[in-house]
Amino acid sequence: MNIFQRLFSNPAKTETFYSHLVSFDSISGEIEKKHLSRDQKSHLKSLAQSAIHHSVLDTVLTDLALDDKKDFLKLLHQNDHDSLRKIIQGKGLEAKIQDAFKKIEKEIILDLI
Amino acid sequence: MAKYEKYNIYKSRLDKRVKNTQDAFWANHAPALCWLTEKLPAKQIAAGSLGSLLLLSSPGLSPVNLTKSLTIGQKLPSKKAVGILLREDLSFEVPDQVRVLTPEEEARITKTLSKYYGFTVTSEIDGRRLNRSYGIIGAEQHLFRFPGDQLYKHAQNAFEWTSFGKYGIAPGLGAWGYFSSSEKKFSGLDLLREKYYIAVQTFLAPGFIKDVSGFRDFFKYRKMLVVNPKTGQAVVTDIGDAGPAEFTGKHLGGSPEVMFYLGLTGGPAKGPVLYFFIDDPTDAVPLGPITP
Repeated sequence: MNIFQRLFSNPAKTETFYSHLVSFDSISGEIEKKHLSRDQKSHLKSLAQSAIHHSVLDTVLTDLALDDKKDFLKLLHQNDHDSLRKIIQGKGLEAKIQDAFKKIEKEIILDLI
Repeated sequence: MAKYEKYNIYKSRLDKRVKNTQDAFWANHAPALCWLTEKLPAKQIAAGSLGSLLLLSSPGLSPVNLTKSLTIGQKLPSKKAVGILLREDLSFEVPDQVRVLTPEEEARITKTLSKYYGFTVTSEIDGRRLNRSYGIIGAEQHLFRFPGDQLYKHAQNAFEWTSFGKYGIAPGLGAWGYFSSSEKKFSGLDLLREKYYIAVQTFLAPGFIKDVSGFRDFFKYRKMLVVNPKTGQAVVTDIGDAGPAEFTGKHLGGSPEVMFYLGLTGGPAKGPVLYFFIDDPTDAVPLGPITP
């Protein structure tokens, strides 16, 4: 995987540093209700997950100084999610991640009405 | 409504959602992301599993969107691309007319610059500020750095002599006198201070007349970020002199090196720049040209 595939790879397929903090069930359930083909539903889920992933990363990096951002991105590139979870806990960012997720979850569900 | 119509509506909305989060992510963290691409092995981006999620570039797309888009075969953004991003952001925030910025404009611009450069850029420190932060910079001459200094000693190599020697040396001393009391004591820091000095209108600072010595101490070698908003070129400078006079129509002056790295040595050797203080209590930000 190259740098950006690792940074932005589909979080539903891989365990991430914030998997334990958020649940994709509501969005997934909303998409499943639609009368669409399996491929169409899968694509919409991927779009939603990408938006969530960018939003969570933006939230985390916003709270880090430049040098800490570099360290964080390096670990993300290395897929070291255990270390990333420790950073999140150490910086007390779990609540912020959950808040950011709730905000974008609402926006995505509105997009699906 | 047909199934494919509903799908297209949902897809269009989520595409826009992804783009917005992507744009915010890149805008907020471009310096760190570009560091990552330069420090780790550079690779062409393959769309892979992200291909369908990413904004596809289209003809006529601005460099800003291109650098934020990840498409098949597209190279990762470079420092040059980040410079383009900065220039693009500034083009929305900096007025076309060279005038005194409003407090809101200063707040937006300093926030952008702080974000791109990773240090605090501000229009005011300890309640002290200059009369303006957007103005026309003109070329200054070299300054005498120690007793017995001569112009040829300012050049450390042939390039510096041919590029910067022609501007000559000012007949008088700068506002703070010599940079060093003797050639023997002349340090690397003194060299950099003269090399990247700017002259600003200290005498027009709000409150200056009531506290001349206080302002003098505040301004002496105070670090300032000077940015050419048209090109994105920037230099970390220090206040090495006072001036220019108001009748010149210019608002600050730059040493030959500062003007060179701002891209303002051609033609009339002047142009509009932004100039803000760098809040650097630990002296961590080095003097000289800087890229985001």
